[in-house]
Amino acid sequence: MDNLIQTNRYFSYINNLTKYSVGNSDQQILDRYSKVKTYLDTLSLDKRKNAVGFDIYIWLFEMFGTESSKWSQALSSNYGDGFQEQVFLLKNPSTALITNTAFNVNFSKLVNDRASLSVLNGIQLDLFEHLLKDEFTGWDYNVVTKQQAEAAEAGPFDFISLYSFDVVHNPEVVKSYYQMLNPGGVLLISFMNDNGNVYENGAEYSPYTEICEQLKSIDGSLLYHDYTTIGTSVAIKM
Amino acid sequence: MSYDAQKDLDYIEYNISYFMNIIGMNPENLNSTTIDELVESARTMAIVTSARPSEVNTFTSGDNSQDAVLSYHSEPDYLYLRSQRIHLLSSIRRFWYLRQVALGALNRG
Repeated sequence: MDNLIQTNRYFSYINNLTKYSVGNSDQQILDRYSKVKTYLDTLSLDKRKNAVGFDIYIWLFEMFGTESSKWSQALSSNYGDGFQEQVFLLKNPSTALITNTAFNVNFSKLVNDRASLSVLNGIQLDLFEHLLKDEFTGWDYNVVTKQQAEAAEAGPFDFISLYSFDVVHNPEVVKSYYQMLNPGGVLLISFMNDNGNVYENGAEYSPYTEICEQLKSIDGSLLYHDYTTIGTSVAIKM
Repeated sequence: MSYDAQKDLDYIEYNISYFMNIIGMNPENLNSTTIDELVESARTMAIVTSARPSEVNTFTSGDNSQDAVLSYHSEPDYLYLRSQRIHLLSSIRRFWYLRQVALGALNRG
């Protein structure tokens, strides 16, 4: 708990220095995530440690959808949204593909309103459409299946936002997403720090490092990494 | 267009099948396989990385002092196997979880 207080103090100072559009309020996150959590509870998911381990992708709605959870008070989660929005607005894309529709409804709406939106098929999209979409009106998007994306059979896009979880099972497929970019396009990947392991001894063996190596190996690519919060990598197609 | 649960499930099961092949299981048995069996098979792929400190002396010529164990834990072979093991298990568990949620969507209709 001491670490959380320290982290919150650190990010509260940073939050005081910033102003951004889609920052989800603590209450919004709690309301949305608890709604999703309530639905997921009806599926009788196997949540034993042996079945799920500790995987933030699996536990996210649980962690942030429970009022008493210390995670729901973690300011750093809000701060992390700012970087994604910054990259999106700086790029000002005409076409965009995103994956995190349920995790971040506000960002999805921002992209929907400022670009021609495509959404990756997956449970994020299902949870969004089933539970969260009606919070706003005016949605207009195409759906791209993961099969299409991994064959680079969609796009081209000016901006793609992924989670590492979309590609980490097979780092090579990140090249297909990159391939779907227009020249000058930007590929942003969140949750890239492998719980901090990409900054530690043995990092070279992490598949998260391999995702970066795959992107760096492409002629004409540039790759950047923001190490704050969850770690965000940004590739630019020159 | 909206969420396509069947396409999602196809993608998830393709990936689970891929990992089942890696850990020596038959993907045709997916429907009768449990997550516990998958995890158990995956763990045996790199059992060396879950060795208890008292067991490590096999790899440190009998020296199980803290320094020897720490040194062993810094070896590239150990670090490589540890990373492979962690991410193999993570991928299997994540796809298993995603499969449950996608099946939930399919059953919802």
